[in-house]
Parts: sequence; C-alpha cells; structure tokens
Amino acid sequence: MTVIEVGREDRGGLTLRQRWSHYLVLIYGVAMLLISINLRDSILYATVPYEDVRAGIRAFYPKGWLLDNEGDYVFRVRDMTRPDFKTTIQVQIIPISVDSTARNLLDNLLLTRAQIFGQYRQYPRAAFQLSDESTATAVNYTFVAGQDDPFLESFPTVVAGQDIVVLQREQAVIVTFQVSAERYDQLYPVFQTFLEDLDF
Amino acid sequence: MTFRRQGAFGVAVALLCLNGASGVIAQSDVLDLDRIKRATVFIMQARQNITAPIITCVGSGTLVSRDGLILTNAHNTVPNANCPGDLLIIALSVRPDEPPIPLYQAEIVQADEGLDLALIRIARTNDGRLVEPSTLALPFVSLAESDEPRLDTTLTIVGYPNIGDDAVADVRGTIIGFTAEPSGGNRSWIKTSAEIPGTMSGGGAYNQNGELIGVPTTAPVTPDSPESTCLTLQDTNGDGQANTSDNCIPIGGLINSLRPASFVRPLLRAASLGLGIEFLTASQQQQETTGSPTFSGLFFAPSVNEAGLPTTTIRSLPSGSTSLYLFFNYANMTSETVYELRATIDGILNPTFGLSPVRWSGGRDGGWYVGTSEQPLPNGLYDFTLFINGVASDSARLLVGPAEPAPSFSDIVFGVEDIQGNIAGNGFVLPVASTVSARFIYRNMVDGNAWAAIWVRGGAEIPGSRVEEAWTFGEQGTRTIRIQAPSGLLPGSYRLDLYIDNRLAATSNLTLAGAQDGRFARIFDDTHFTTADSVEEARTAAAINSFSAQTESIYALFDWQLLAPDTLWTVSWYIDDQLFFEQTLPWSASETGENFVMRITGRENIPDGTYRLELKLNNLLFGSQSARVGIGQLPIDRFSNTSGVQIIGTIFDTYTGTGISGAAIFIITEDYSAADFLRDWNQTQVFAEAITDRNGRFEINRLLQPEIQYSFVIVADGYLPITADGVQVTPDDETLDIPIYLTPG
Amino acid sequence: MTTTSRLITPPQEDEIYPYRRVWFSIALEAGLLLAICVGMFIAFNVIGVQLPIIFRQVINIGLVALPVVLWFLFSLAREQAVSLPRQRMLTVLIVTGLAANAIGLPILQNVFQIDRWLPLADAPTRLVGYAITVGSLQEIIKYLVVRYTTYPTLFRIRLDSVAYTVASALGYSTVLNLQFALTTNTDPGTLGLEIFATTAFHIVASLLVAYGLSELRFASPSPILLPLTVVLAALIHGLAIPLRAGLINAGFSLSGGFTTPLFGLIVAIGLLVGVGSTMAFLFERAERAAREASAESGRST
Repeated sequence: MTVIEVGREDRGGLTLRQRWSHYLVLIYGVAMLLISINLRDSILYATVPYEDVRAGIRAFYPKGWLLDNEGDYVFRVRDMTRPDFKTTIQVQIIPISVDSTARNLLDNLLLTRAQIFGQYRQYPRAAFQLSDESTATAVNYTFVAGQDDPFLESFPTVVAGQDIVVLQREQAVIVTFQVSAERYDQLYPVFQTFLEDLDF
Repeated sequence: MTFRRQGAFGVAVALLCLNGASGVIAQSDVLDLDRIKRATVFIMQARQNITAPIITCVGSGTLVSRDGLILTNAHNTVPNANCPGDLLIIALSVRPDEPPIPLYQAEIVQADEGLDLALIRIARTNDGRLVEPSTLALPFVSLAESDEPRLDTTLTIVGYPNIGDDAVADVRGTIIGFTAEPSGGNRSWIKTSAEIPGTMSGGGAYNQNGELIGVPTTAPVTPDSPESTCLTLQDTNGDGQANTSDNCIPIGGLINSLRPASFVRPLLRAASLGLGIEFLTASQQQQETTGSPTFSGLFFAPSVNEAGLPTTTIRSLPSGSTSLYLFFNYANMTSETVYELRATIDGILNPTFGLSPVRWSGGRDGGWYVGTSEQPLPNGLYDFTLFINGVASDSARLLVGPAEPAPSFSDIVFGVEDIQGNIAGNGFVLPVASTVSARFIYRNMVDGNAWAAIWVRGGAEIPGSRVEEAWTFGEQGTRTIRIQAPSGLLPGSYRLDLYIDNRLAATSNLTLAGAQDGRFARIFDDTHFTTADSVEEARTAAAINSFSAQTESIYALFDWQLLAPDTLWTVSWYIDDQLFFEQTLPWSASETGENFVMRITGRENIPDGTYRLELKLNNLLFGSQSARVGIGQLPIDRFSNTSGVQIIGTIFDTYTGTGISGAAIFIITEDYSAADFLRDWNQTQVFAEAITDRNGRFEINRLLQPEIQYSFVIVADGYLPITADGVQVTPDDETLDIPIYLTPG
Repeated sequence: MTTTSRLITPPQEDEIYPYRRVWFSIALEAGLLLAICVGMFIAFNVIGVQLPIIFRQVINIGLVALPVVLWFLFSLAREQAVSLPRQRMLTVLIVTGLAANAIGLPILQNVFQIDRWLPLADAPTRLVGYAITVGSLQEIIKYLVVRYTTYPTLFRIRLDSVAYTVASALGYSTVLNLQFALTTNTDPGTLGLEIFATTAFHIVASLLVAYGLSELRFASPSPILLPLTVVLAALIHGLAIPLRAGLINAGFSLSGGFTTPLFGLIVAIGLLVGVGSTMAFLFERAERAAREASAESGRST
C-alpha cells in the first residue's frame, strides 16, 4: 500500500542515494557529450593510408573519399557525398627544368586552367610552411564548376581552391585542394590534416 | 496429303511465321530512337563578326564517340566558297521535343571533301573554354559492321528538318537501290525511298539494329543557281534590315542518297586514334583549274571490270537488265563542284537511277561513271542529264527493251604477249615495254563492217597507232591487237578506243609504269619504315619494323621507277588490318627516284598496333610493308560499345518528394560487391558513375551489358545509402528510367 | 415487552482512486494517435487524396499538435477531474519543449553534426552513435527538466513519474515533429507516420527513466539504477532510429527504389506496446511489493 501524507509538503530534500544517482546521471551526460564529439571526430577525420612507391608519395587521405589514379596525377580523392562540388584533394607531379621557378609553374597552371575552368581567377601567392618546416608556395583561386552532362540541369558552383607547390630536384609536386567556396573554411582543416601527413 | 497432315503442316507454317514475326518485332525493338536522337546534333558553321557570329551554313551531324567526335558532311563544315565560316557551333537536343540548344564549338579533325564527309570534334564550350575530351560522356551511335546493306532494308533517317527551329526528327524509308561511282564501286551511294529534307544532310540513316549505315548527303547548289534555296536569317551587313542584301544560308533540296558507312570507317578510325599522314616528298596541290567544269563524251556500258573500266559500250539494253553505267569525261572539276544526275524514263523523273546534287569526288580531269546495279531496269526510253552546279551540262539517251543483237566489242584486256600469243600480266597496269597487246571479245560482227582501233596517250592519239579496216575475222571470237615502239613505250596512262561503223564500241584504259619483273610491273621498291628526327635523317636511317611504344612519329619510304606524272596511284594505310587512310592522287614527283617519304603521326604518340602501308595503281597492289608499334595491337576501347542498356532516373527525398541534387550513383563492376566498394572507395571498381542535377535527375552514360551482374551504390549527404548486388539487365531492356527514394539518416 | 439492539453495518463504500489512471490515458492517447496517423497515411498515400498546399500545411500543423491536444484532453483535463491532481504537468511539457529547441537541436546540428557522419556509417556504429549522441542528449535533457521541476516533491505515487516523464516526452517530441514538418513540408500521410514514431520512441524511452525515478523515490535501489535507466533509454533511441530508418529505406531494383514506411510504423508500434507493457508490469509489480511490505509491517505492529 502506498503511503500518503497529506498536508505535509516535502521541501525537496534528497537522500544520499538520490543525490548520488543524480550525480551519476550528470557524469554520464558529460561523458557521453565528450564521447560523442570524439566519435564524431574519429569518423569524420578518419584517414586511409596511400603510398605510390614510384612517385615517392606517402599520404593519408580521408576515409570514404573516392580514390582515383587514372588521370594525369599521382592520385586524386574526392568526397562524393557532397551535394555540390565534390571536395577534391589531388597530388600531381610535373617534370620541370632546373631553371624553372614556382612562379613559372603557377603561371602555366593559370594559363591552362583559365582555358578549362569558367571564371578562373588566381589570387596573390604566398609562402607556405609545410609540416617538415620546408617552404612551399601557396596560391588560392576560384572558378565556376558545372555539370559536364549537357542533358542535365545543374546550377554551377563557385569553387575555391588552393595549390601548394613544392619544387624538388627536377620535379614539382602540386598538392591541390578544391571545395565549394561556401564550405572552404569549414573543410580546410581536412586539407591541413592531409598536408601534415603528406610525405614526398 | 491427308487432312491431319495438312493441319499439322499448316500449324507448323503458322508457328514459323509467328516465330519470324516475333523475330522481326524483337529486332525493331532494338532501334533505340531516343538515344539516336540525343546523339544527333545540329551544326551551324559561322564566321566571327565584331558583335556576334554570322551563320553561314547549317546541317545535321551524329556523335560517333562518347568524347565528342561528330560525323557530318564536309560541304557545310570545311570552309569553302559557299560556306566560308571558320567557326563550328554544335547544338544538342537537350530535350527531345524541343529545338536544339547550342552548347559547344568544334574543330575539324578529318575531312574528305570529295566524299563530302567530315569528322569534327567538340573542343570548346560556347564561352570558349577548352573541353577535355575525357570529361565528355555523350550518347553516340556505332557504325554498322557489315558493308552490305540489302535492298528493301528499312531505314530510319534522323536529322534536323529545319534550320534549327524544330526538334530532331526521323523519317522512314527503304533502300531502293545503289549508285556506283569509281570512288567507291557499286555501292558508292545508297538510294532510299525516304524524302529527306536538305537540312538533314549530315545526319544518320540507321538499320533496325540502330546501327548507322549511311549519311544522308546533298550539297546545296550555289546561291546564284536557279534551283537554289538560300535563307536570310541575320542582318549581316548592318543596314538594319534582314533581306536579300544580306548573306544567306544555302539549303539543299530533298535528299535520297546516303553515303555508306564504309566510307566513314577509315576517317573515323584515323580521327579517334589521332593519326595523320603527311606526304613529305612531293607537293600534292592540284594545279589550278583553268576553265569552267565540263562533262563530255557520254556513253553507256552494261558493266565495269575490276579496274573500273567499261566492259563494252552500248546504245540499248535488253529487257531484264539489272545494271547500267553512264561513262563520261570531265574537266576542270574541283571538290567544291556540285554535280547531279537526273534520270527520266519515258519523260518521267525517276530518282532511283539518278543522283541528287553531291560534291565531286573525282580528280580535276579524267573519266568517270555513275551507275546502278542489282536493280532491274524497267523498259523505256531513258534520258540522263548531268548538271554542274545546278546547270545542265550534257545528256545522253538509252533504250531499255527488246533490241536486235548488234555487233559489239567488249572486255578489253591488256598485257604482255608471250610466244604462244597468250596475254599475260595483270590486265591494266603493265611494265614499261616496247610492245603492249590488247585482246578483246567480238560478237555479232559481220565481215565487211568498218572497224577502227585508236590508241590514245595523254588525251592525244598516238601517231601511227590507228587501225582502220573492214572486218574480216568472223562473227564472234577474240582478237588481239598491238602497239609497239622500238625505243620503248613511254610510261603513263593510255586508252584504247574501238569503233564499229564510226561508233564507239568499247574503250579501256591502261597504265604503263615500272620496270619489268617477269610479266608484271615493278613500280615501287624497298618500301620500309624508320624513325628519325628529320626527313633528311629518315632518308639514310636503317629500316625498322618494330617500334617501341610512345613512338612519336614513323617515316615510311619507298623507291619508284618509271612512273609518269599524273599517273593515279593509291596510298592505303591500315592499323590492325583496318583501313584508316586511303587517298588516290596523281603522281607529282619525278619519273624515277628514291626515298619517297611519308610520315605518320599521332595525337601525342603513335598508338600501339600493327601498321601496314599499301601502294596501288588501278586497285592493283604494287608495294606493301608492315611494322609493329608497341605491343602490336590496339588497346581495347572500353567505352566504344553502343549495345546495351542505359540507366537514367531520378533520386527523390522520401519525405519531401523533391529531387536530391548532388547524389552520387555508382555502378560497380562484376568483380566487386557494393560492400567492397564502400570499404575501399576505389575508382578502379567503378564501371560507371553519375551525379544528380538540381532536379535529382541522373544519366549513366555507359551502357550495361546483359548477363553481367553489377552492384549499385547510391549515396547522398545526410541520407542512408542504398546498395544492391547482383543487378542484371535483360537484352530486351532499352533505356530504364528508375525512380529512387532516399531516406534521411 | 423485551427489545434487543441490532448493529447495522454501514454500507460498504468503494475506495475512490484519487489519481488519474496514467496507463489508461497513455493507451488511449497512443491508440487515437495511431488511428489518426494511419488514417492520414491511407488517405494521402494509399488512396491519393490531393489537397491545395495551404490546406496541407494547416493539416500538417494540426498533426504536429495532435499528440499534445490528445494529452490535453485525456491527461491534463482528466487531472482536474480527480481528487488529487498532479501539479506542473504543463510546466514540464513546456520547459522540455523549450529546452529541446534551445539546447537539444542546436547541439545535435552544430556540435554533433550527425548528418555528416552517421548516415553513411556501418550498422554497429550507427547504433552506438545514435545512442550516445541523439539518445543520451535527449534523455539527459528530459531527465533534467523532470528532476528540477517536479522531483522529488511532486512524486506522491510511483505513477507520478510516468505522468511527468510522458509529459516531458511529448514536449520534446513535439518540437522535433514541428521542426520536421516545417523543414520537409511533406504530405500528411508521411508526416503522420513520422509523428507517431517520434512520439512513441520518446514515450518508450521516458517510461524507462520513469521507472528509475520512481524506484529511487519510493524504494532503495542501488544509485546506479537511475543512470542505468537513462542509458537504456538512450539505447532505445540508438536502436529505434537506425532500425526504423533502415526498414523504411528503399531497396534497389531496376524498377525503382521505393521506401517501405509501414515497416517503420511496425517498429514504433512494437516498441511502444512491448516496452510499454513491460514497464507497466514492472510498475505494477513494484506497487504490489510495496503494498505487501506495508501490510507486513502493519501486521507486525
């Protein structure tokens, strides 16, 4: 039988058991918050190793991105789940002469891409420090990307990109990051993580 | 037969008929007209103006590769007097029921102005940006494998019926005959019963399997011709009015002739492989024409021999005949000249035996024929009129019907005569010698008939060669005559005309070239290949017959002897036994010499394969050599298959019902499962992929093959993925339009 | 003359239950909600009723409010009809809704960002992921609201915990349903199934937490019982959300990929009936044990 006490108001005092139960629930809540963030990061920022012995490239690219070796690049990975422009990271090696400079290379890239990409625009170049403290040249640019299939209707997307150019011996390594412009800041950490783990 | 047996027989016949009918029905179901229409483009040739391009010519074309190679006519794409534009704009039928939309610019890759065929490639977008061919995945059609379309075959002709105002259309017809020309033999043209609008020229004609078997072709006549149609669309002179003072777009009349796909194949092969041939020894420019083009000397022959020469000449044809050839001489013709043959039977125009206006595919001067074969000729009085640029030039008449047998000469064969009097040699190309014999058949001759034999070289009778006498050799048999020159006959082209009662009874051509090699001519020698950095180096480099992969260019060299200028010779190049280049041209180098140089180049490198060079005169082979590059075999083009099932569809959000933009659809090869792909995310596992547009629409541009099990993976940001293994299409499927609903995760 | 006195026993009086019968209310509300939602589905998705967009939006808003309206009619109004009504029921509902909108949804969308990584994860990761993100966050918020607005003062009987946690569940689920209706603008049939499932999952999870709260108030369980019920409630979400989405999710064939929403409905009904009846049994057993213990102690004195 349930005991009813009428006319006597409990002022909310908790027993020790109740208090500890409550604390345990709070601790559980905080723990789950931290574990959730950790789980999110471990999945969002999970990486897959990649190695090309002939090119001398070792890298870790984001897990779940589509790996492609079939073009004129060492490899390219794209996030195919993105609704707009498929975020792309690409590593390319171009033979150069001993007299070539990063500026020559970037000028060539600009001239080539200006003919392929719509509204291609390059911004001032800057020095970029890699994780091994060597210096590279970084250049940011934007262009407009559209659907290649003429039978489909797509709105073009403004794409922001960054190229990191490193000259070594008789080759230039160009690491490219391209993403929808409105997500550039949000997804740039992914590229930063990639650069930190990139070895060539 | 008993009643029971009759019944069984009837049932069997009925079953056979039904089976045949179902086979026909199944075959007609194979024609994927939607895909063919999407692969048909509208081409506008234009010239740049300060403000906007000015359209100079229009026509249809067909995509023949997924990376943007388009087959069309040359007359409205290659710049010429009638179509002087230098810009090619390609419009596609983005929506099948609407007029085409200009999307790309194209460049000419290969063209044969004589055959009026051109292959152009999409190179830029409308705003001038370069298009990387590998990024294109356009619908395309395949050429029919067989070179032998049959009479009464049903055709579907697809093209644009108007100057871009209407959607792509199709016209049905059947094959009613074939037209012969020296450039292509008995099937130089396919005649169809369909009435094809002139702007469909350059489109495609398809069999019931959806394979391209011909290109509707007509060349519009010059604007100042009384029969021309020329439309004014733009104010090209800037006077504020679009009227007859402005440039107009020439439009051809109704078409009933198709260029067979067999002519396209070599051009297509060279274009898709990026191969080019250069002649580095002699200039190949033709001499400027010095007068107006003319036709003359019309006569008829019932058939042609293997050298393309008339077997005999006739003035009438017996009932039931199935072939007829009109021979004529031509002068001052160019590849831009438009010629036409109109045929009437008892005064009624009959398009079956004529030829609608087409570009000239012969040389500058010489002999030509237009004929028909495998086609019963009705009895009647035939009038044939040749037109040049829309103006009547010459005509001839022939009676088909019962006729009295008349004296005739036929089947002239040339050769070197042995002691026994036998003619030896290959008949029409003989080594330079002092005596040449000609043997011919005679029929229905009457002793006493006046007959003559005249030898001609270079258009002029050879002095002292004429034979004129009364016939004394009986009613029928063979006779041999000779021409001699003690110092040796000069190399070059000869002709023998035989007359009966001052009427040309037979004629045939002969080429003398090369030194004697037994009974045959040795014209070309030491044919070999090499590689070098320059032409001079190639002339002294050692012969090579196996080249490494990534070779940039290959030189082909040969020696020659006793080859007179203007002698027609044919160069043919093959890769893996497939022709990719053939050209017949007048010899313009010295009579005898060494190291005639040609060079073959590729887009970046020479593709791997086995290359063969053939040198011919009068279709007879006189020199050949092969060489291997790389592995000696062309790599397999995994995108060249046009048979299969196309998958298109729409991806929707389950809850909103709207299309999901940017969703990715992957079709995984049979070697991997969906789970493998989701684990590895490797492009090598992907057979085909597509991304949805803003409406959720997608199109897989690679066709699925029956009897192969694919896996599907569909992903989109924020949605649960859909996977499926073991997906298989059936041969009866054509284009599948699939709705897919994704659930938010 | 002799007279004898006779005692007249007073008439037996039935004991009047002074509280609203919670289980009956929940069952009635759930049943009506199910009937209306299924009816909407049949009307719009099976029969194919078409309405102008403005009417559809009105119906959608009505559907979102339906669980709360039913609760008003069969829970809150009935509280006023009993002799010992529960206090602050409406307060719990409103505060939970506000907390869901202000805290729960922003954390899910901006901190956890589950749309970016959970849909494409494998099944075990999805189960654990939904449990520790969506499930834990939602149950912690609901628990905290109940804890600081009613516990322990207003917990007079065990079933008070059920009443308050269900009110909290309705507050949270209503906000989720409203957000769903406004962002997808889907048809009433599909919305109805979604509303029923969301409400059912929250009620089921809340019943587990209610048990923990009531035991802690009226018995002497281990301190870990309440956290355990919160964990189980989170797991309910972790199991229910991916399971339902996975069952609804279309398969693929060359004729198309069509969803199966009725499978999701079956999951919701199954969980509601299964867990609900289990929890009702547990509550009844706890009540009986308490009554027997009280009777024992009464007899011993």
